Amino acid sequence: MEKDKLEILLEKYWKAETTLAEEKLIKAYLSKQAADESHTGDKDWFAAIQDFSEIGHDEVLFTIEQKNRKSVMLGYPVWLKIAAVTILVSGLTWLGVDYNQKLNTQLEIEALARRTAEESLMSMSNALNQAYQHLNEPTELPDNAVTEN
Amino acid sequence: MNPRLYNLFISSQRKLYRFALSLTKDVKDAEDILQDTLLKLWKLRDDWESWDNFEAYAMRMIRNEYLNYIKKQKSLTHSTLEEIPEFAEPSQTETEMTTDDLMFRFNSLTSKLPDIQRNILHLREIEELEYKEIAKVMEISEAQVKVYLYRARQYLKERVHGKR
Amino acid sequence: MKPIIVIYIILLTSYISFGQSKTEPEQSQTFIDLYFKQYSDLPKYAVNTMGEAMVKRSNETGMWSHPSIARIMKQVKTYKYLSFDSPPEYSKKVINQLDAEMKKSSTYKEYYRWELNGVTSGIIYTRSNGNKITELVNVSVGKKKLLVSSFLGDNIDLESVRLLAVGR
Repeated sequence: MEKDKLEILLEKYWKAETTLAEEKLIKAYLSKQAADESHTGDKDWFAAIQDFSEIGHDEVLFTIEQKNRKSVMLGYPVWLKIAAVTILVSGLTWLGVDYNQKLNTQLEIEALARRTAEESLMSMSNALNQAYQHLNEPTELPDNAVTEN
Repeated sequence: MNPRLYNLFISSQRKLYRFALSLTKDVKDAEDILQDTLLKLWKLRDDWESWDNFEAYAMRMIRNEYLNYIKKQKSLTHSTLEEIPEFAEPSQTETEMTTDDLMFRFNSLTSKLPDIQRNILHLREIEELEYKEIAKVMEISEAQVKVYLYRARQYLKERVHGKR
Repeated sequence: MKPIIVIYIILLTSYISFGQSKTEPEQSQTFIDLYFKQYSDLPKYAVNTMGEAMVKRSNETGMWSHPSIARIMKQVKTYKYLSFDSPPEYSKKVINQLDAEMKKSSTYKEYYRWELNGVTSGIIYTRSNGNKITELVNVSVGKKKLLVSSFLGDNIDLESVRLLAVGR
């Protein structure tokens, strides 16, 4: 694509006047461009889109087994039972959690703040001690070192 | 089960998951919403012939599920301490990009947009839907979709060409 | 005394009293307020403040998990912490930006920095009033998060912080 055409397309793009095909063209073109100084802002944005588009989901969240694939079809009544139990269990759990949360929210906030403060102090303490240890480690003096008495 | 519907269920999972992720910005919540939506769709499978566009229908359900979810949610607003780094522990060992990393830039740039503009932007930029399809998912007119998309892109244009 | 000298004295005192307050941040402003507000639109940006009353109540009711921590927290009036999502590359940017800001700052001093494989894992900053440390800041760089802790007080003893890990 020529540079002029890209400029025109980008102008149209930011005004939301491009078609899907034109937008795909811009994406394809900018993704092949070297990381030079031109269109840095545009490239940042399209790279962000590209990143998000790469998100997949490796786990299969929902599967249906079929009779004609020599596997057992998950029967409607059985499935219903499972779903009902799941909903019931999660519903009860949610109710319980929600009730407890109402009671404990304030206490949890305070406990969390305290825990963060403690973790932070410990992290600093560890770091400072490590620094101290390094400072106090005996180092061999070179042969020609002059020592003061 | 109709094999076409079966394929639609399986093939649209990735898109639906991404949309849920865009709404919730949280992997666990997105998984929950996707799971609930797929279960609901499964219950309605006998009527699927009446849905003129499976994906748009499913995405609309994802959005509705999310709206219900945030109504119910009374979670703590503060962060958890799970990821406070331990002293002297390698902090950059992962080379593979995680889901959080992959959505980071997009979410950072769009976080200040109103939800409706951000959702429309996601459907257009990530899922590459036509205005007509976006209108169906969002339950608004095509003209409104265009207006919201225009506003979102104008904001982003300033954002990426201007400050940080 | 000539009137012109009186005017000079007034001008001089007003310069000292007002001029200085411009270079020094207000006592209530913390490191987080000064250098991290610009990141407020990042995902999961959350600031929490443990106010004076809450710190006091925690001290009085013995809520700290260790007496040494309790002793340090008695020197602290307010504790504020911030966390937000930040992948390693972005954290590097934030730390570089912070380094640049610190070069300009006369208020905060970098006290200690620890690195791993050439990458900053954490930094301790202090703000002082004479010999007394009035703010102790810890910036921790996590795998996916940045956490900034700020302890405000009149005189925070760094040595007792160091001894925490030793005394346990």
